[in-house]
Amino acid sequence: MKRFAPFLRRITAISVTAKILGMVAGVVLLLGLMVTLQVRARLERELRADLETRGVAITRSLAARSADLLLTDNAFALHQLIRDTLENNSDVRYTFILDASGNVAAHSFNQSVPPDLLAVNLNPAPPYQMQTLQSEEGLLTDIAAPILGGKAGAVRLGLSHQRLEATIARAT
Amino acid sequence: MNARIGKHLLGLIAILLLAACQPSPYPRVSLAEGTPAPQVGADEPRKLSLRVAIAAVISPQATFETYAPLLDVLSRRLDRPVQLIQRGTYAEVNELIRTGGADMAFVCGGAYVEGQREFGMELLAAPQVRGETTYFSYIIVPRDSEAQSLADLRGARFAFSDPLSNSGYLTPLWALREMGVTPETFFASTTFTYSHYNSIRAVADHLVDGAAVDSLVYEFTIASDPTYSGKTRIIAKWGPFGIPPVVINPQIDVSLKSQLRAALLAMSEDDAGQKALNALMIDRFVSVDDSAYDSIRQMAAILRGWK
Repeated sequence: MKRFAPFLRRITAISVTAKILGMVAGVVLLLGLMVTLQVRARLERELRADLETRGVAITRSLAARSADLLLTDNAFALHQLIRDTLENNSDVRYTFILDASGNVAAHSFNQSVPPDLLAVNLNPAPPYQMQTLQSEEGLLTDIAAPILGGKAGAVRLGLSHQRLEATIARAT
Repeated sequence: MNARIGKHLLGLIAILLLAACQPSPYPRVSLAEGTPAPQVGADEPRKLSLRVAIAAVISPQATFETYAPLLDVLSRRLDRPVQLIQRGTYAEVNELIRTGGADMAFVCGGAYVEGQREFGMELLAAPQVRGETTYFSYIIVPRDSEAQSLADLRGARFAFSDPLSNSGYLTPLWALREMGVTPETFFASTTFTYSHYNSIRAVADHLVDGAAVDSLVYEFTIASDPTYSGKTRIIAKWGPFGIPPVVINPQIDVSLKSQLRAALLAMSEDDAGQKALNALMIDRFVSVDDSAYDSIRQMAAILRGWK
């Protein structure tokens, strides 16, 4: 009890008005912090779910649209499809298409698909498979969708979390 | 006292820092591109594949699914891998056979007579369907269309399948010629869909008012998806014509040619082969004479201005 004596003496020396104001300010700050954390967590959950839903839709659409092109070896049309996907979806960081043997048939990278990406999220089961990855550019949601149940290959698509995190930072 | 509080504060900060520094629960990947990965199986010695080309008569996906059992049986009988090559047009498949990019191909009668004239494309065998080695060209319209014949499609939107197709282009062109008109003067607009299946879908979806299609593909499509029967109907039928054959490059190795022919002709002799044929609605493969394609050849000679 002795330990808290100086602290108690200081507290009792403060006026009642100041104490009440201090308590109110403390409660307001605490509530504000709690609400901010709650909103942040909720916003992150919602935005992440929304990002994943959009990613799954884009990936499955790509898998459906690339099937005929892959089967007819239409490399240019596959490349064009990938370019259009990247140009029209700002959260898509990368996409690539694997043939039935697991070889890359088309991709959105400058030279080649990073080897690390070829080693994760393998053999997707229908309708799709999702995995969160940590990269030097932050978190990525990698979605893999089989083409013709996997008999013709698979589509992989990576969504960047950068825009999502910037939105959360701005809002909170 | 202050020292103790300071210790506690330092401890709290350390815990917070440790929490912040704990490893990410997600797998770590680098987006550095590095050198391209070698192709899977590129360094493995393997038997030379038999390359079988098929033009997209039905959709590439349906072709992939329905021909897979047949190619599996061929692979087992020939003891070598079989690679399916699909192309969007008949001309591309003919080019594959001409240049040796494919060993064997399933082509249309119209593409065969063209390939035979250009570089000696050779007949290997032909499918027999419901006891016949012939087929027809159908003109189909949407089920609710009032058209009863080709003449009723004047001013309509019309779909051809492929410029080298007999049933999907040559035959309707011949019929229009008999009527003394051309597609340009008779129809409001024409389009090539590059697959009989696409033409059937275009009619069913009212994208066009009529289309010329292969009778075998039409019946296969209706059997696979009966909703097309409720959406389309046949208003004209021409034929019979020699059935779309299996062809090879004339330069192909003689022994491979004999093996291929033997494998195809014996396809119906065991369960696996029969199942593969059933998937394609084929009874068996038989030998056919080149003269079976004379009627197509005669039309092509006139319409394509062969000398």
